Amino acid sequence: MKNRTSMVLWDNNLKDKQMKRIIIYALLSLTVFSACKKENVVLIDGEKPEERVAEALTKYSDQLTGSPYGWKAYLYPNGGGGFAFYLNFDKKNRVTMYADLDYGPATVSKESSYRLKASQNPALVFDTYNYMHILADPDPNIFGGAPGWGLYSDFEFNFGVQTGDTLKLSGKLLDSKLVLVRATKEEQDLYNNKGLLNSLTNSVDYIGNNSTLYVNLDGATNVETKFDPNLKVMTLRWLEKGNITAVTAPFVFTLNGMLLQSPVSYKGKLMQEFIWDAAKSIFYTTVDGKRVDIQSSPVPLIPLHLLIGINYTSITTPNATSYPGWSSDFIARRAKAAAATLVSGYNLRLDKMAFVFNANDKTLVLNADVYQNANRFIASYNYTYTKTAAGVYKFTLGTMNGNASLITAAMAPLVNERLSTDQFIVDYFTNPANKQTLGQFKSVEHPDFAFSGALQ
Amino acid sequence: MKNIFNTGVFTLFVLMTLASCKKEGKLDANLNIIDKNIIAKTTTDEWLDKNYLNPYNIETKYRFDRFELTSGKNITPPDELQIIPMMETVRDVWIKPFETIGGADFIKRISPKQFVLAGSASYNQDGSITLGTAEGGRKIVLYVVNTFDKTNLASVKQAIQVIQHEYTHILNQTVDYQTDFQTISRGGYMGNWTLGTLAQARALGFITAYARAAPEEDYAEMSSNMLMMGRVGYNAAVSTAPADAQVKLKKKEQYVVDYFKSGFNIDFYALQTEVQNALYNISPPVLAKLIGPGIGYTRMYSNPLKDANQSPEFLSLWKAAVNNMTAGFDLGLLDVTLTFKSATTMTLRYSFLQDSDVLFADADYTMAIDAANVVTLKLAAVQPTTANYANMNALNPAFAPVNNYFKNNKFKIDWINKIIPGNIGGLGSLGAFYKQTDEKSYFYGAMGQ
Repeated sequence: MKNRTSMVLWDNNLKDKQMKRIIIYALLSLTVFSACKKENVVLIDGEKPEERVAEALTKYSDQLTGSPYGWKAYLYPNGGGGFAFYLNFDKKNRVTMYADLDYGPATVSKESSYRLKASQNPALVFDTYNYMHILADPDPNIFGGAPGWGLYSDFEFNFGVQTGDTLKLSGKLLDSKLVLVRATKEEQDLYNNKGLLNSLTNSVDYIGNNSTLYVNLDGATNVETKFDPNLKVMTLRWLEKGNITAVTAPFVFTLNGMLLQSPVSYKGKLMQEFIWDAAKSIFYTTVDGKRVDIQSSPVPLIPLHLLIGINYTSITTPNATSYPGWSSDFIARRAKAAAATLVSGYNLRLDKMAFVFNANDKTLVLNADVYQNANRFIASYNYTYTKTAAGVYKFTLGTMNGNASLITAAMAPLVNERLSTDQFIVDYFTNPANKQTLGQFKSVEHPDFAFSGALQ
Repeated sequence: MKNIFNTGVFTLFVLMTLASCKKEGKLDANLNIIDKNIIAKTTTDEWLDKNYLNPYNIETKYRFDRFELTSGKNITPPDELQIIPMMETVRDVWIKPFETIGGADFIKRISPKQFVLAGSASYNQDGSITLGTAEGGRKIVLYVVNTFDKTNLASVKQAIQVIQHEYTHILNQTVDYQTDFQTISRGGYMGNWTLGTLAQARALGFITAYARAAPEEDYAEMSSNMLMMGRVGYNAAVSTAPADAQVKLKKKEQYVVDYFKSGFNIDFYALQTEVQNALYNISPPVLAKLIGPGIGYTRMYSNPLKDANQSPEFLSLWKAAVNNMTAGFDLGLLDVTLTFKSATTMTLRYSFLQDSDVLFADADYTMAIDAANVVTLKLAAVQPTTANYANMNALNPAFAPVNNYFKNNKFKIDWINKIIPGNIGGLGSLGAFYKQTDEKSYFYGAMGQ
């Protein structure tokens, strides 16, 4: 009985074990079932991703093509500067445009294709060549810039923030900034009737003819407003206790004048747009809601000694026997040096001389070109300098290169007897013939020794 | 118990099989709605459909798509106005010659499936620029479309060279090239081929520096360069290589010619001529600029009595010389050959029969060709003293009428295809010396190498 009981018990145990196994397998198989079971996807806003993207694309497409008078567009390449466009998008993926890149694009309409594309974000792609691609063209012969990159600009843009009539986009490859603003009927008419060309011509001519423009906002300081129409960068700079403060911003040409990407500030007073006043033939800006005229100065506001070696790098005397800003003593001494180099035994003809400043290192390098027949050689004289607060330089000759050593005696009237021994004032000189601003050296000890050259 | 257990496992297995990987419904994401790229067809698109997509099933993609180009590079798209001129040229210079020689359906049967056009070049880190690439015989990317000029021979050659090269790869994928081709320049291949110069490549029996990259590139470079240089240009290039390299280049040429014949029943030289003719439509070859060893032609041959269209003046002078030879020396004048020994020297040779022996009379000339392609021939002051030159001295009274014609006139060098229609720029094409003062008077012959 005992045995039997135990048998039964054993039997029960076995059954138990068997049951457990079956339950485990059953549970396992349930797990397998439930693992494969698909649940309904929870959708944000009840829409599938592709539907949301499609909706966004449709929205942007409707916006771009829905502006009845087109768009003013300002492109600020990653590489600097700013460029204005006027764009008209149609529903057949065509876009027409003007641009302020040059006189031609400002008045000759260019058409290309465009498309809206969903990659990670909704994107606007100008997918065949137009004026916009000129900025990005990797061939530096097209519009300058770096080989392979041009001005580091984009032609594929992601849509970003929208405020009112303004759409902001950013370049997909280089993060250039593109701002689109709805144009008005009046603006469209102007763009179609050489409005941009006229504004561009006015502005470039005025900037070219007035080398120093400034505003006076506080009755005390003349603040220079310098526009570089090639780099499309505006610099605001002023002198304060002998130091220069400068701020810059990219600008574009508009129908009215020039517009900065963001306002520049002089002690909290902001300026962003410079508008052409055709009646007065001047530019004006608006500060704190009030009109401020831009004034023109015949002479630079900031002394040259504060700029040379930083904003300017060199003063170069041309290959000439006389030149505006050359004193009679310099003319005589240059002639003497030129004659001496010819008979130095190497038959060297003295050509232009470049005086290259570096304000950080406080160095001056004189590179004199000497030609042996058609072969150009450079005689280099390396100087260090000290400068007083008033801008009086004292140059100390360091090393010379081999060419310079060979003609030391011949060049002595200019180099040893003057540049290496005297103190100099370096200042602007206005060429009386063409009003061009040159740079000029003037000896303190020998006021009759002065020479000028191109300022670069 | 064991049975139950087994049954349990079996059941589980069945259940698992049934349960696992059950899929519900079908994929219902409509990706077409986010494709806003369906663009109304422009006249350019229609032209491409008509000339490429419909007849050849080749897609031409010109609208910018970053994923078709090397990533991370700044490459601008083509100007739409450049698409048709570019693709017209591709059609006329690449497709048409293959159709003419290989049969109307040749390109339809074997072709790349896609051209991708880029406006600018692709700039590389090392400062070089890429002008064309291809992927797996399917896709060919053509760069610098914006500066392409269909009237400029160099521009056209640069673009079509890329296609010919890549198309050779495609042909090679269809019919293998000879496996022992790679043994011809064994040891000359190198992965970093950019380090080698063209002169080094030529000295090793490679037509270009790039041909050293690998045997298949060598093959594609051979075929594409032979087609684009033409037979005369190719031979001239080969002739400047060292002797052993010339043997290799000639051997490779033969491999390519045999391959086109056996693989595709194409007469390669005929194809080469067709390609050259297509290029001549853009810019005709100037004969005067193709004279001299290493440049082009080295020989000009004529048998004036057999030539149909020698000018009356030259023919009468030649006949006078023939009569002089017969009457004065009892010799039979046969023909005349000008051999261009350099760009500025030439040897004039008459061959004549003495009984049954062919003998020669030679004279050296200096040759000055001016910018207007007018040549002035002068008897060289110093002549060699070998037998052939002695013959010329002895027989000069007989040859005088012809010799004086060459010596006393200036000639404009040009093809004669306006008088005798025929192929120009090829081996055996007819060239002429037109008297500068009277173009109705001329001497012509077959140009050779």
